Amino acid sequence: MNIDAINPIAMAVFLAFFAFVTILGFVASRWKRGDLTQLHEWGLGGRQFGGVITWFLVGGDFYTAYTVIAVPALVYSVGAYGFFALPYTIIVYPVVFAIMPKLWEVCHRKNHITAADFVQGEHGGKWFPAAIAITGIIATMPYIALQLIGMQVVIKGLGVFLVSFL
Amino acid sequence: MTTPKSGGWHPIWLILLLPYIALLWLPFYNQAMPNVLGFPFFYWYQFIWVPLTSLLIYVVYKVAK
Repeated sequence: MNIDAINPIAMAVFLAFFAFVTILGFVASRWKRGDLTQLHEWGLGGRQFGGVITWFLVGGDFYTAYTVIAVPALVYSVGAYGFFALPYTIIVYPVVFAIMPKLWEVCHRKNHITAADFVQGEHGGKWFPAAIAITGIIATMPYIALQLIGMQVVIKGLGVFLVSFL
Repeated sequence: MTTPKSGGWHPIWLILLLPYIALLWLPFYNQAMPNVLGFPFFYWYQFIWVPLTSLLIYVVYKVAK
């Protein structure tokens, strides 16, 4: 770790937000305490999220390390090709708007928690819901790996050089 | 509810096809001119579809509800 390479302003901003989010997390866990032995409390916040919190959650889903690191890096390296991300994000929303309210309504009424629960509730069976669950887990893995690499790039950008963990 | 029969849908939903047509056919916007505040057409055209699509979804939400 080379102390001279650290950008003090960037590091201060990073540490301030890190502390803020950490404190916010502890405050939130005391704000509306749920019974975490209940799966819907643990996974869905007790189904209590309204429009405002959902808005922030969707924002958090979009502005990830992929959005702020990988896409700009692609645009820097290959130019306008990297702009596929913008039309793609725009045309996702009508699809979400058409499907999600119906999905939410059914899941709310029948107490489904995951996509696999929904498939089992609507179509029954054992292997089909299992395939949905396994597909979800496998499909999420490269995305999580991408986020970790993104975080690594962010930390390197602050001037901290650690041994690669990926 | 303006569409009481099950499976029926309001034709206003069709306006949600506009962003697909406008954005998935690259020749519509693969050009630099006219530029606005120095931004080539290619960039501001795509950015303008962000609020525009939100607006279209809002219209469908209000009308088809």
